[in-house]
Amino acid sequence: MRRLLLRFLLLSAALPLAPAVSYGQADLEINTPAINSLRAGLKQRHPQLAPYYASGAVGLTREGLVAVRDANLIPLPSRGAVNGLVAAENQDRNALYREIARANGRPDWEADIRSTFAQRWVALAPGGVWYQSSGGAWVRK
Amino acid sequence: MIFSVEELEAPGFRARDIKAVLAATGNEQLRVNLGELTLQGRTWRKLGLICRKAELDRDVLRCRQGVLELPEKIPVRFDYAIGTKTLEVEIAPEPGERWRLRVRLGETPWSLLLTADNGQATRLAAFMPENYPRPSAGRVRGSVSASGSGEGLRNLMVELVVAGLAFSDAAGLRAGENVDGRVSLRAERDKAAWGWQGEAVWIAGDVFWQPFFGRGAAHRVAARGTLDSRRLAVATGVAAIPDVGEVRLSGTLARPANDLEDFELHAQDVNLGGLQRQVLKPLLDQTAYSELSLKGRMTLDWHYRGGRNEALQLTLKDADVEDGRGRFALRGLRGDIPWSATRESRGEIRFASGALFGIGLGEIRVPLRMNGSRVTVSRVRLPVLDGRFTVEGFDAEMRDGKWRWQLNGGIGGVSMEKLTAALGITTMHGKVTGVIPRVSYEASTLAVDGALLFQVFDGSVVAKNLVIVEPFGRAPRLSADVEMRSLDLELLTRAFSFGNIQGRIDVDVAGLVLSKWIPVRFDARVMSTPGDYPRKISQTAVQNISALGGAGAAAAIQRSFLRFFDQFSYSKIGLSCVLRNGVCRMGGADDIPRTTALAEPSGAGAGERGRLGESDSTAYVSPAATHGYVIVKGGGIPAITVMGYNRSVSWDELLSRLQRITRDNLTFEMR
Repeated sequence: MRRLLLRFLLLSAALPLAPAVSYGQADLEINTPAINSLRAGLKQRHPQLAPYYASGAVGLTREGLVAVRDANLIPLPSRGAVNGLVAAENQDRNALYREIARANGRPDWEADIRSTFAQRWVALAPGGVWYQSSGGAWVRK
Repeated sequence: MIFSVEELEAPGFRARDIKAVLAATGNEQLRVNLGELTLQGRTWRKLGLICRKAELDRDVLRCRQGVLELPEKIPVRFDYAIGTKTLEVEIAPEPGERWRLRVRLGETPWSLLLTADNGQATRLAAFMPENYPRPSAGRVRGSVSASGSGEGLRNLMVELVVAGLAFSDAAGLRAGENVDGRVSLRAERDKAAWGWQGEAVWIAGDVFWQPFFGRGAAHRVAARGTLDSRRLAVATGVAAIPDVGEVRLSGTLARPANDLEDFELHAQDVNLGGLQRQVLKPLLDQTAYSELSLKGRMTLDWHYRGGRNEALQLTLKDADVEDGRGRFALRGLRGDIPWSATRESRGEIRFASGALFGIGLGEIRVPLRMNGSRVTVSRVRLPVLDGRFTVEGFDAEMRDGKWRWQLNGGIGGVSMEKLTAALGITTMHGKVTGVIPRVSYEASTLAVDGALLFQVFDGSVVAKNLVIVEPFGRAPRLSADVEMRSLDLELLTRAFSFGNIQGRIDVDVAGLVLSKWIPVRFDARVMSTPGDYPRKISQTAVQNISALGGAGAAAAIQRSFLRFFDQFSYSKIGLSCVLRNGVCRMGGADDIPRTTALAEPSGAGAGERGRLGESDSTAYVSPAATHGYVIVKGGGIPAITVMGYNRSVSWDELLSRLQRITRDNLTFEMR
């Protein structure tokens, strides 16, 4: 079951970065209203974050979150707003990992789900996006 | 003539491998090379000075047409009086830019004066300590003067005006652009301690200082205090923010870690509107409160001692707090909150009116009792529409940085008409009256001990085992068991424009789970309430119930004699739904055994999707004559029985059918 879930995640993770995705098994609760709403929130926010991924101002962390990597690449009046975007994105991502684990009655899977998502965000990201390696160093894809 | 010095050292200064060559003729009458120069921890290597015209007049060495090699070549001229050890340097890196330095080392105290006229701020970057923001653009005008003795610096005076200044630290988290302003500082050392006073005026330009962003508009900060190796102390400080007000501050920072030890902050009559526009709005941008608006006045006294909050006195005057997205509003807010970490105190919050998700709230007074990290409210009576909400025994406590609280209370006399109108949903009738037993919140989970009890539709609703995980989070999850007893179907069907049904029902929803307030799992069952009462169902209601199973039944009714009746009798109503993974497994009051063949009407509609059966004055409305279940069981004259045959229905589809029915209120033309 655990492998099945993780395989599903490998197929359907990074929605906002990959508009066309595959959907997984029907016996897993991956379509709860909360999960769908959180994924929709991520997708909706993605166009706002995309320019900052492309410029390298914002990168993907090894914890499956996003972080301001170099604020110098963001116009000064926008730095606070980008901080807010990053905080909102991370709240949704954390809630998504927690909700998937909870919806399947396995809160103990959260760390595995997070780790799988972290890998898939990077795999689905276009070239040029910065991400954290397993050692924590920033690497450009 | 050649001079060589291996090393020169003074506090904050060190020069190594100094070599000076003075020639009588040629293009380089004087050449000085420094192998390494260290100033305030910063080091430069391979520096040079060339003078094409140098002269030694008595004890004064004069250099004209000199060039500094940093390695950038910068024009320079200087005089050095050997007897008094006085150096006067003038540097003009580019037209219109001039820096002058006068150093007198031969007298006690030694002195230094640096003046800048239209100087490029970037030239100061090299002198900034590590990890401090450094200038990258802008002009500076003014002077820095210093004097001291063999023991080091004794006096320092700074008067600088900057224009178009840009600065940033390496991470870009402390940065400014196009900043105009002025800074003055006077400091004097007495033994090991400095006394200082200074003022900074931020006239224009943008500054981002994580997490704050602001635009200068004659913001002013002035302070005086002391500095030694152990702490930086601000004896008095004032920050004046236009459109907000003045904040007075004193306090100490422990050095070198810069840990905050103590402070006292006093903000008198602060304009909350200005505070929201200038300070909070950039902070709340992109958050759920980005459209928050504040008005009114606030006075704050805040004491912090030994690394912890000691006392707080907050006074609010005629304040309004309003959410631009219409979720909440508090108007005419007045508050007096005196809090102390060490003693019990009492405060009060009042507001004249408010709203929560469109539901009007009346005047309220909240008496607070505070003791350290604990807040209690004995009783609050909150007018809600035409009723009231009562909270009793509110008890909140902060532990390990997280709040936990509990309360109990009740709601009474709120008319459903007003409540549903305020919420913008289908009008319902009756009164909401309920008892709220102990509600507790801890570890992001809200739980109700006992049962929540409400009176609606002339019946009762009891919610048990109610738990909400992360109620204020991004994905709240509610679980509960709900029992409704003896709801009046006439009131209910009238509210939802479902056609008319007379009678009463009991509803059980076991194992209800809502994810983000939407059902994802439950075992629900609707059954007629046992007892003796009129049981009638209108033709519209029959058709609507049938339509839940798909289209077709309406046409069947039209083809039978039943079209002559407006309403029918029934003996019981029953419907069940077990929701799992978005699919509702349906059932009814009774199952129809597969072996029981229903009498079919002769002729009309046989074999169609919607068919009508008649037997002993009972009519069967069914979408298909397959194995099904009874939703409305006929009884009396004329009677009607409504069958359901779809055992599995998508929850979303079922909801959309219900919405269509209640929205369109399908009616049938009788012919």
